[in-house]
Amino acid sequence: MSPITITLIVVLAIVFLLLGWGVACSNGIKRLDLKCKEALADIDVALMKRHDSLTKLVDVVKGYQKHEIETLTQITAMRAGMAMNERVNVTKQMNDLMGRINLVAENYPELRSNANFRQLQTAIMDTEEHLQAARRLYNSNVNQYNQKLVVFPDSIIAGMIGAQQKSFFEVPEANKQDVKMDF
Amino acid sequence: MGIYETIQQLESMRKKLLITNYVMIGSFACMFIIPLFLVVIAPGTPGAQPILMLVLMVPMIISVRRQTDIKGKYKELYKSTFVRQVLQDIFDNVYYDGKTGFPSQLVKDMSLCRMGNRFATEDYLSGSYKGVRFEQADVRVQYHTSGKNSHTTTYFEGRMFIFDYPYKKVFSVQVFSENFQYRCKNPLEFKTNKVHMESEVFNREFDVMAVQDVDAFYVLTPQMLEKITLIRNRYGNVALHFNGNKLFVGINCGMNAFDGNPKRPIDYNTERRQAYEDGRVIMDIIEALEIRPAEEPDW
Repeated sequence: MSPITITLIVVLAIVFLLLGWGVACSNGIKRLDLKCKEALADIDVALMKRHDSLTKLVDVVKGYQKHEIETLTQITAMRAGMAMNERVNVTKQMNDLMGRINLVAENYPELRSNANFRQLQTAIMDTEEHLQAARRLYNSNVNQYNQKLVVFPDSIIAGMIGAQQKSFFEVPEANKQDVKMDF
Repeated sequence: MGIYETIQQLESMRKKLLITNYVMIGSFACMFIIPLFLVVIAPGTPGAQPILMLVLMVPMIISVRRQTDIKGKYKELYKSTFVRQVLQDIFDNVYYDGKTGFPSQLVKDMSLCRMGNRFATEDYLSGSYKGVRFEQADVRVQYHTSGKNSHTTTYFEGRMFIFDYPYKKVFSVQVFSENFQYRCKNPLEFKTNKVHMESEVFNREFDVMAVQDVDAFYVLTPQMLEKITLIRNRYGNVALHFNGNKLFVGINCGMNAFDGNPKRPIDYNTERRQAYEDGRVIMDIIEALEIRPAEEPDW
């Protein structure tokens, strides 16, 4: 075998190896991107459920306290394709609303003993836990994704396919605590 | 029969066990030593050696049979005297059967360890502690290959527990400590993914497998990660499986619970303390993982 043929084989082998690594790296980034999108969808589902339960809870509260209806219903409706800051904003609004409902309920013992009210509260607590799980999963996936994008040599492929860093789903400090429901 | 007479009876059985043990060891040693002496002293009588070996085998076989028999009776009496009483003192609604354990299909469905071709189980216990229902049994799962290079691999030897876990229903989330070697893959025939939790320390010490990643984050809250680490620090080789409204726990410690030690003389207080220590593991898991009964809401 001539030296030119050997050189050609070596060069081709290196090119194939580089191509293989590039494809594997690109697929890895895309896979993580998909996982982030799936986790974001889980957040939306949990937010949607929470929104529905809160709307029902507001209806129950309306029967006891009509004056506060207007303030209680000030909540942005959930929609598809919301930006991250919009999601955070909706979460904050929901937490504020829940706090206000609790304040109203403190003054109305008959409301607190209403079976429907208690059932909805339980449902909200459950969706709150689902939301937290979805948020942690999303942030964990984003963390892995962002790390992949900045670590060399994966960062070269990330730059070539135009992958962008993702933002975390940060909940304001005051809203990180569970909503208290001590009646 | 009073407790004093029972202890006397157990002590007599224990001594018999020790004697049969010595006879077995003695016969086994003589089977090789005496023919060897004969070769040196009387080299002209080669036919005597196999006959002597056969003669020495007789007390050995008798000792083995006698030991098995006494061992069974000793275990039964020991468990009914010390274990049952202690368990009734510390748990509610106790049902204890020292001879039976979990069916192999149940152990398979618990999806903690690989299933081999040899299965042994005993010390079935069910009851409740602080309103939490539980079941436990000693389990040994082995894989044995026969033939020229026969060998036995122990997949699991220790205790398995089932706890009611009604307030967070998930679809199969497994947690294995890093040293839990022969773990069950694809529980209930479902494909699981390795889940990367947010705690790097936890990821180094445990492997989390789940059908749906979000389920793992739902059940394994940051507080739960700490509690599981605590359990691992106490008991070493552990596996947990959250599935539906049940939590399965396996402690692969290589030891059985609720068994007396025939090498040690019977002492009423020591034996009761030993049984209590074995039962305490259940209380410890319930308390460490803060498992609560169904009636109590999660907040």
